[in-house]
Amino acid sequence: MKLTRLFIDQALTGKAGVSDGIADEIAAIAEKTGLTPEPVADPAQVYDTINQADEPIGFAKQVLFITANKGAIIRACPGTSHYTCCDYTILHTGTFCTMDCSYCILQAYFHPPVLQYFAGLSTLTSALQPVFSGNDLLRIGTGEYTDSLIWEPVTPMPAFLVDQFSTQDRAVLELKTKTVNVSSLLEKNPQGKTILAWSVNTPEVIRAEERGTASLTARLETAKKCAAKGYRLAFHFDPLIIYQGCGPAYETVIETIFTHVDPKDVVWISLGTFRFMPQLKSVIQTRFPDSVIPFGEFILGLDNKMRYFKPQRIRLYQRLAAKLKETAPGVFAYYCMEDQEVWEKTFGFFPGKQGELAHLLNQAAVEKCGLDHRLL
Amino acid sequence: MTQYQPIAISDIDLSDQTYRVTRAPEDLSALTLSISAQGMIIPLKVIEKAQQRGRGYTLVSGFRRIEAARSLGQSQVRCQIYPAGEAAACARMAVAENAFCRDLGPGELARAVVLVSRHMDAAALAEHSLQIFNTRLNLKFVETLIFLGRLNESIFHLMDSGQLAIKAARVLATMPEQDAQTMLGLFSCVKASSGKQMEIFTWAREICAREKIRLDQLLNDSQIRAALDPNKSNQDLGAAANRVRAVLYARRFPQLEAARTRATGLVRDLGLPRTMRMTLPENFESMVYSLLVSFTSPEDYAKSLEVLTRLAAHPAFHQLLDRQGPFK
Repeated sequence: MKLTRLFIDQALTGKAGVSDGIADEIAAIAEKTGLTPEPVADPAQVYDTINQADEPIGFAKQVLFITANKGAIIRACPGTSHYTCCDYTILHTGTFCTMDCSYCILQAYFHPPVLQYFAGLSTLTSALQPVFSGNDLLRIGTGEYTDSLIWEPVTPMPAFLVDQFSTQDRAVLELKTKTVNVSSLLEKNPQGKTILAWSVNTPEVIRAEERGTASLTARLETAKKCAAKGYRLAFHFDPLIIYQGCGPAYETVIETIFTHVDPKDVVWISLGTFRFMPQLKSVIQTRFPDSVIPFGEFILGLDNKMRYFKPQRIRLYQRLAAKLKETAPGVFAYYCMEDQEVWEKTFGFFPGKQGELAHLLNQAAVEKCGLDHRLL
Repeated sequence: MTQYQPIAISDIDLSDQTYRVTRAPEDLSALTLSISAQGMIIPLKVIEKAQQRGRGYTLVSGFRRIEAARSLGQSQVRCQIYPAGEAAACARMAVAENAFCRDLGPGELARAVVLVSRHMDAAALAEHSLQIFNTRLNLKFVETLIFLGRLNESIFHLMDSGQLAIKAARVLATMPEQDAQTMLGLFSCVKASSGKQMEIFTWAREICAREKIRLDQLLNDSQIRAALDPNKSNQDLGAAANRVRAVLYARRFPQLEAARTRATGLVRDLGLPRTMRMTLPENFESMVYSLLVSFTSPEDYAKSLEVLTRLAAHPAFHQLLDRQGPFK
């Protein structure tokens, strides 16, 4: 999606902005997007511009708002009740996305959704300092509220973070994406502390449901290049979409991944079937009238999100768990938000104790990324 | 200028229901008695037919009264007569006369909007709705009712009879005309609450989207036809609605429905006494089953414990709890 408007929070354009290097950051973004910055005194001006569009969600993907992060820069992943969470940590660098996936929860999560970039690299440094000098191992990602690498072509932020993480051994940075935007990253030496993670899906789902994203092959070719440059890798089968023939199709994706990359470079793989807040359904039906994914056999989960009927989830997971075990036995695979029954019937165990899944993931990060093993 | 004069009932075209807002009369006995005793207190309103000045009239208001008068054998009624050119005013009067006496039912309101809309665009109608309809109508709602009115006259009857709720009617207005007609056909054969009507809409549309079939193909399916079969001994429209819903649900959620059926069978196999009730986890998402045990005395309680002990060894109980039964 091409950007058509560039709004700047007026508060960033004052003296403080210049001294923090924010002015340079903004100038670089303006140059790379080719857009003239429009200062706004109140974010409501941006929200109003978006809300007045005929199709606010689609329009919001074309409007970039550069502002400061006024909340917590580092925060715990919200997770969800009743299902096992991996205790991830979010580095909040921006919101929303320029790509357009039918199932994207961000369409219903923000009101209205705004493509925001939080300028101020020095604020990231300050926020990360306690993490880098702390006594806890953390897995930190920027891909919770946005795609981590849509920002790479127009901002220095992803490459900056790679540099920041490369000098310490307390935390690993995970950049999750569906893009192939890695040019600036290939010039860096991550020292194993950055995991480039791709959300993957079957070519059918990518074609039908993921507008503007890179093809599966392009993602995997890029992953291969990045591994050669010292990046660790991860893959997220999330959301898994259940459709006729999906089992063999996802198995083929697993095979394809490991024809491109070596399992030793893959830190973890997550699996998660499509789940969504009920209000997303009408958004999908309106914005993606040809999509059939809302018409799966969904039930209301214990966390009040819609989920596939459990036996369907278990059947697909069993198949993929077996395939992963066969293809890449040394790679740690886990579920994002599943319960004891699913874990036990598919992986044969359940990390049920508080923090147990987090520990297993940290262990993988210690082994493959070189984090300090004494902190496990 | 309007004029009052007696008119032969035979000069009024009673087949012309253009201005009818109210439901068709059901029981006119009280009104008939009243007219018989006191005469017609308020004259009827009629409008001259455009091509038949002085000879033919269309009734504007008094549809029930004229029926009562006819049943009394009267051949003439006193009328207020409007010239043919005052059709717009007559439409507004026909509506206002009813709307300011009582709340209009959903079908009546829809019929009234369609009537007035023949003489006024939707925006103006919405703007003046309070003075005509005794309630504010927003433009979108007005447009929906106008669309529905164009679709099929039967829609008003369905709304009057409670077979089509306003909420469901709004959905109809968003559908392609052929699909809307198909759904109207279905709703003429069933009677369900507004919530159940919406489920029928949602499931039917989603089945069609998923299976890539047309709505008429789905609703002509043998199972649906069987559910609607007018030859069934039970011609209760509510029961027909439930049968249709069951067929649609099973097709929309086949695995969930199959699991429920199997689980219910297993619970039946347990042969629980009346004092015990097992509740399955909702949608089988959680693993928590519950059993309600009622007792009235220590002896009852002891008997229940014996049943519970036997239950723990029952194969159906194990199949339920390890999910091998329902998730087969």
